[in-house]
Amino acid sequence: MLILTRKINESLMLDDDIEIKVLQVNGDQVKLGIEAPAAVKVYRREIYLAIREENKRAGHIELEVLQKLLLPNIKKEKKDCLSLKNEEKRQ
Amino acid sequence: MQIATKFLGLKDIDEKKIIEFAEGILGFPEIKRYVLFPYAETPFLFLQAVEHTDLCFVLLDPCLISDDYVQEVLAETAGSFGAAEPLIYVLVSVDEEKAEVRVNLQAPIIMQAEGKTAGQTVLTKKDYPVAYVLPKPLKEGV
Repeated sequence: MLILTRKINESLMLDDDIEIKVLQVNGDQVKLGIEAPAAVKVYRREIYLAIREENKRAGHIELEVLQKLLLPNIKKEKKDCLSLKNEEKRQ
Repeated sequence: MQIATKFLGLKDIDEKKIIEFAEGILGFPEIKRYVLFPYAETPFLFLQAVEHTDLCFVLLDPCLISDDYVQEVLAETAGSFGAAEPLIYVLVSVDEEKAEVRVNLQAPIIMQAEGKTAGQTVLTKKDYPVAYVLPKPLKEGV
């Protein structure tokens, strides 16, 4: 791991177009500012990991379990909401 | 073409209906081609990987959970994947031990209305639950 020391308002460049700036240090909290092209994805690591974990779980979903847990309560009804309208447009 | 699906057996699909996930889904970066099937009699949809029978996600239209959420996601994602007004879905997972059905509100699936391209977007403007437990019943009247 590359280790660098920075002061407040100093920054790092990753390639030509990503800047990470130290904005504020307050006890054990560090506030960073990140400027990057829109295509660069920036995630807090714990959220990234939680999403990946939940996706894995979603990818292994078993229908019998979903049915057992939910089916008595669900019946398809057209709801007047935006995305269902979009759905209709699509069909 | 015909594909083998996880939940619906063999299905004939129109190749034009294949949805391209250019960057895959987090955790499944290599799997990029999916098709949508309705899950009969329910508000859920199946997102079946075309080349991987064993991989089928279940999606839910989040307007069944919160219209405000849909509006917030639309505001944050308008224009992504070339869609002025994209379709929004959330991924469903189950936890049998806890008897929970839950959806990921932090990272919805955003899809062009024409259904050609899509992707999973991690929302950054606000923190939402990654595992939001669906109430029973889903919403009054549903």
